[in-house]
Amino acid sequence: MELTPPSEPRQSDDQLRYAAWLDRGTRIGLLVLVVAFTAYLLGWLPARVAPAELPQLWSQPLASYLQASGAPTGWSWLVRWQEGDLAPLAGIAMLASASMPCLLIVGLRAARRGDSRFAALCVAEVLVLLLAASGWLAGGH
Amino acid sequence: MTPVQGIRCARRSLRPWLGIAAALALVAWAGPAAAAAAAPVGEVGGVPWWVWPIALFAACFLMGIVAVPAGIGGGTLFVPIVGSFFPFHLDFVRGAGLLVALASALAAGPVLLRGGLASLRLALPLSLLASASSIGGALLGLAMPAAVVQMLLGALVLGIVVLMFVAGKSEFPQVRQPDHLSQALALHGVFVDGASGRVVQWQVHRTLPGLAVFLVIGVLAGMFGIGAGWANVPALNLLMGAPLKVAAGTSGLVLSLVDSSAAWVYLNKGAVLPMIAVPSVLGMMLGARIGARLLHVLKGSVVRRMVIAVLLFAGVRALLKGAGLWN
Repeated sequence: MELTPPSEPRQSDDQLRYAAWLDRGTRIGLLVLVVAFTAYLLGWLPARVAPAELPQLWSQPLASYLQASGAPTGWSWLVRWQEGDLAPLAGIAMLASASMPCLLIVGLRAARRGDSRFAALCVAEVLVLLLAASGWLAGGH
Repeated sequence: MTPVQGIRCARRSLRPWLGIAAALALVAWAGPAAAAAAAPVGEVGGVPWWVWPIALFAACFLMGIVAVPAGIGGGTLFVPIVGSFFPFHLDFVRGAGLLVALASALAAGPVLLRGGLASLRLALPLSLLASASSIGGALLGLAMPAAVVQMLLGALVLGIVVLMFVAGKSEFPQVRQPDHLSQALALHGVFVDGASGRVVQWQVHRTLPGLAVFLVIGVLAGMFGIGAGWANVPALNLLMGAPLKVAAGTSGLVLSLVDSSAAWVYLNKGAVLPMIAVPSVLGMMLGARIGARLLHVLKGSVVRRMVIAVLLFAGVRALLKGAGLWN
């Protein structure tokens, strides 16, 4: 470890670009989450499970909840995004995906300048996230 | 950039977030009450439904405030406390816990990356293994009986309490010679230490053992939906030799990737209930912003002891609840 007098260390372009895209993705995800949740709470979107019905469901194990509520698994929520209780899932999916474009952008930049190890790490991480998101391992559709 | 300029810059970058967080808080706080006025009131045990999301928001707000001075992630507090004291099933609490940790890590990530307190190069190899294993942990956690998960969670929380007592920390660990893997992956960096105003260049060692530890951390994060900062920071700081501030910042970046993959599993399994997740995320984010501002006012050691006491209680409660001795 080396301690030196103050100067102005600049973080790598990769790191700064990653930060900028992560910032954008997070803001958009949070905005969608809040708008959709507000629409659900205020009844702007019709819901399969109204907020007042939730206390009968939220204390049940997942399998019982799914059976009683008819809530979708996998990506089925996407085709039912107009339903108020499912619409906030779009915001959650955006937050869980926020890192993917950042990784792809810095991975491509690394590949262009010949930094193959860093590029491979970025691509591998995107593949892991895509595998998780696919629902294939979780038995979703 | 001087430390004063750095603080001003951080404040400027935090300002829009404070506005967003305040707006979100208003929705989380006032929304359920407005919805209750518009819809028939459902009750459980005489308590109207809308009391729970508001109570959840308030509890997460308080957790967010104390989490920063206590030096522990809000996600670590969330699952044991909400799982023990709220009427929600543990499956949904873990799903919400992951989102709480994810949203907090995502919000802090850009500031930490710009200031060099989080290192993308250091985070990526560790995150890769941890996020892959977190998928397995999440699947395992959702497949196990809730009572078993609750007992294991209780044991884990008590383990965290012990770790908080005994784990040391090293502000600037000495890494004389980085290992070959660390050199090959260019796991080094530079940042300005705000306290001393000095530029600190750092490197890490013991990369392979570090990767192995993060493999296990990923399983725990996915299985329990618990933020893993309590394990990330000692692993990065004490094992791999990253400076404490870099360890804390990079831990957040690792969490943003690990919790993303685990969150997808919970989402695909249908284990994310927005009514639990959204007030939790908003309360925790707003509380954490205020906690960060109160950092210089609150006495960290006192808050830390208080948090340890609460965790101890929540850990014992989870253990006994899982064993069917305290329901």
